[in-house]
Amino acid sequence: MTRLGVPVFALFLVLFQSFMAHRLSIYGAVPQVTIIFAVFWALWAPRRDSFRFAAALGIGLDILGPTPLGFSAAAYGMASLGAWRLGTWMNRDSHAVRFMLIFAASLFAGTLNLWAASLDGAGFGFREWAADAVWASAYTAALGMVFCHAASFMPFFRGIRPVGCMPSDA
Amino acid sequence: MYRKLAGIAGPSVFCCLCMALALAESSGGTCVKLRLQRVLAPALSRLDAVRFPIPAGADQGFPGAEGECDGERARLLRENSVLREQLADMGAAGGPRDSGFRFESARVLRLVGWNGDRRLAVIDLGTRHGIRAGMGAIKGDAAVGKVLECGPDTSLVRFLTDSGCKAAVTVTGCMQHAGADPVKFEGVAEGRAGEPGRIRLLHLGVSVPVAAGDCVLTSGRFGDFPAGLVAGWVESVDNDEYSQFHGIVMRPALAYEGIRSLVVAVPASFAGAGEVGR
Repeated sequence: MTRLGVPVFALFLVLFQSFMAHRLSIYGAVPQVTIIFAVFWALWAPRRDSFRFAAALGIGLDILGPTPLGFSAAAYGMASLGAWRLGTWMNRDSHAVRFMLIFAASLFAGTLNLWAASLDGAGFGFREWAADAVWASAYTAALGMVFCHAASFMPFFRGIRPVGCMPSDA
Repeated sequence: MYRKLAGIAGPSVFCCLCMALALAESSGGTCVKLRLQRVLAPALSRLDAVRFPIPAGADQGFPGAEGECDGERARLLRENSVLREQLADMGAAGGPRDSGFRFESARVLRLVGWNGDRRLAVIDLGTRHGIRAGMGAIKGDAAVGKVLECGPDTSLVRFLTDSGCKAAVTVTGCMQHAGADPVKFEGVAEGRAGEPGRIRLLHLGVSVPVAAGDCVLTSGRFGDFPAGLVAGWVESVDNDEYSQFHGIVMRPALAYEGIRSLVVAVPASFAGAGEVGR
């Protein structure tokens, strides 16, 4: 992967999430494609790289979306750090671990987003949280399994870690 | 141990700074994002059109600009069309009523949304133009939302369908069902999470005769909108056996996706400080 590849890919992800991801919605749940790849990076890239990648995604989403500037950046940064730490303790090749990490990261970011909206006076109860954050996170995690599996075989993503560390090399 | 802590010190500080910035932004203290929107709006407006396609019929008065014209002519036609819309909005808002408001015409720079539920508009008016949080946004003779945040030159408008946006309303058409003297019943219209594109009508008791199709007008009680603007239409009335209030769902007066300009109602008595009721 070239040095330019990661920023361009991050920009593509942010634009896709902001303007196209709603077309993948099922029963009102929009998948967070950005969090899928933030976790993917956290699992396979060095911590500093994955944190920068996640923070860049968050800042991009903050600028293009309705959340106050800084909310998504903080959420994605913290989610990336958490996923990286858990990834070092767990079996990264396990599909269940990946599903759980993506679900947890998405739920964390989604909950922070709802909190950001509630600061503007929007009222969210448990029902809204369950419908908006939990359901969307489950959908994101399910979609993440497919994306992560496909991405691990793509030459583009091999650059984030030396060959030999990707699941497809096992 | 110290090495591990030092490793996460940088990211932790970054996250804390981001949260602090976000809290300052949401309290309206910094307005960095609103300033950015002003700069980015021209570049992002085409992508916004992908996110929020303009519904059929909402773009009248802009004859064939995409098909027949190109470049500068299309841009001028679009600009002319928006200006005509703004003039019409000003006429509709300020014409027939002596409402105690003055009206400021604004252009919608961007529509932003999240998860299909939230709909916000960035407009080209700010505190320098006398706009403050809580003022009503009007399109034609319809109430569409309220100002949420203000920067110096830009503001964020929250539509009535957005969770937490409230407007004082009255229900008309009740007299037809009651068969008695005309009586206006007051309630509150509020967007709700989980019900995208719809508005809840609250605080109307089950004794109030209301039915699907009834028109809901602003009452002007909160001091944010002039009275008599269309807030929406009753779509369904669902009564719970154990509740003393109707469960009423409204649809908004118009499709927000097609809005390119609107008018902000500034109370005539407004001296330029503080906020109107949010």
